[in-house]
Amino acid sequence: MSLRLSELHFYYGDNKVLDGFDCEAIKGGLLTALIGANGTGKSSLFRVIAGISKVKKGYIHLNGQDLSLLTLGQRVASVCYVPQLSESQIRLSVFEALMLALSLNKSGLSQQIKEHKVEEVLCLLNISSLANQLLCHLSGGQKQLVALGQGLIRDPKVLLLDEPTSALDLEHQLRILSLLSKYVRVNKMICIIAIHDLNLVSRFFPQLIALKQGKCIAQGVTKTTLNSALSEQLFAVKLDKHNSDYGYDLLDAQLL
Amino acid sequence: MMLVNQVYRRQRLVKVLILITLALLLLVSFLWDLASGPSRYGLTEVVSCIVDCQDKKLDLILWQIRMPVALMAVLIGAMLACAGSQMQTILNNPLADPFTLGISAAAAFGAALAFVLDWGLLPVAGLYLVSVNAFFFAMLSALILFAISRMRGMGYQTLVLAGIALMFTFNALLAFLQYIASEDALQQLIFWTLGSLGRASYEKVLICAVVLSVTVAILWRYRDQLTALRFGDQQAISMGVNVNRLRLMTLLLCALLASVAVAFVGTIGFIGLVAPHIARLLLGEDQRFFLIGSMLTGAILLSLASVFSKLVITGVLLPVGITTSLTGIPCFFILIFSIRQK
Repeated sequence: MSLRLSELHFYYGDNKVLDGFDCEAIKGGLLTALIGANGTGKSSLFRVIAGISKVKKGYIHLNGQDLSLLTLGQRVASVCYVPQLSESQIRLSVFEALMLALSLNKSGLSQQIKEHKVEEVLCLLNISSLANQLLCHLSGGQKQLVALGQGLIRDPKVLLLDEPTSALDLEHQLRILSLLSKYVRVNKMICIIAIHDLNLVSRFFPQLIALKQGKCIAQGVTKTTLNSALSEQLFAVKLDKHNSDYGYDLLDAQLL
Repeated sequence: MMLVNQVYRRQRLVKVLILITLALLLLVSFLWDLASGPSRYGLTEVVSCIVDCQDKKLDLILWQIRMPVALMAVLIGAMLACAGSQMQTILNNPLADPFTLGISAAAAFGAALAFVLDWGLLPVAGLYLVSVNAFFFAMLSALILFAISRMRGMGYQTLVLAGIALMFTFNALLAFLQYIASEDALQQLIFWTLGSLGRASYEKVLICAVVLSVTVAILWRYRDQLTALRFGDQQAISMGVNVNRLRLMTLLLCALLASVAVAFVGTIGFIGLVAPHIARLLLGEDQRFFLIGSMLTGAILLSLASVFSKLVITGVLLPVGITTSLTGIPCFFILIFSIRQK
């Protein structure tokens, strides 16, 4: 499984958001971090890959296939984008929300199979106890887990998560990223996650892409790519070096 | 301990039971509507007449006067509630309905042109001059909204504001026509704007039934996509929903429902706004239950309003627009307070 993004140009009104974004093929089976300062085009890049926004120029190839040739239905069957947390007051239960995501994308499945898949995802994310609660009664972090569940239940080839841990507490951040690591490895899928926390990047993401002013300015193995120079370039912040799996660590957090 | 899917199934069953209860309540209010009126025929006489009628006078009153009015109340209530529920869904705004978005005001202006200036868009419309005018202006306002929504960078929140602006524009134009109207025309116009089921006929019932059936059949086909819209555009698109096309199609269907309803019975507010809220509180927002529940609730509210419009002053048929809010508001408040306590 590989995703190739070539020379992507995207405008929002008159603002140039993606300015010839180009990167090497992104391999499946490993978590990929997308890092960059606020407003540099991370969400736009995701929307472009998912087909929600149309590029002015450029190509997106998944396993050699040009995604622009697919219909929206075919595209969303392969690529799943989970947007950043939105404050929605929906009177729908968690179970119904997951059933909905499944019904829209895999309408051919029987009711029994759908229910079984929903149970599996609830169990995977450890939110079975929330199954029959209304979304409007959940906290921001719980809603984020449900949104993640709505993405996972569709079994996409490419999963794009926009800051999925921003509303989660520390335990859930570690738990969810650890879970996603295993899930992506087992299913050999491509998973790109926009994330700000470099501690989590160094701990859970074997590869990263750095975005600045609509361009890919660095890509590669986190251990070698994420360094103080890159951090300074992206965020104007220096990093202190410690030992960790992939490179840098600002905080020595342990998953209990 | 119960498995999560068992709880889900039980919740679905409860919702089905709520829908059945609403349908039974509608049947009761429909029969009550048939059994009430200035000529003193009670429920048992009316029911026995439906089965086998011996009394010629009752036969005439039931089938020529009461039945079209009672059927019209049910259909118009369902149409307004359906339009309101879907407008709230596609515009993601709990205050959206045909009344607040100016569609009813446009229809009233169209009707006023017929009453005050005797001017019709279709001069051959004859008896339907007022209805045809009202229909065309309601559709016109919906098309203006449609055109605004197609403009670049126009979010659906702006669409709601545009609807409110349309409402004030048509209300001002209506006030101008009222100002220059003759006394007779003004009286007719005011009576029309209060909303009345008194002009019901089988022909109108048939038209309403066809429009409602076709619209609901289309909306039902898109039930999951409409439910997904509540998650916001981006998430809905990422689930494969063609958001723009769905929103425009639903807006036009809502406009069709509202304009036909308003053209036949005048402006009846409240139902399109409140019936969906009652259904949402009772059944949640899965369109499988929400759409049907909204229509049943709207039909019950207007049917009950029709009953009370005959009961408030004996022998006098009040315009149903007056009794609608008075009937519905207590139901709404009871529901809000009971849920708040839970």
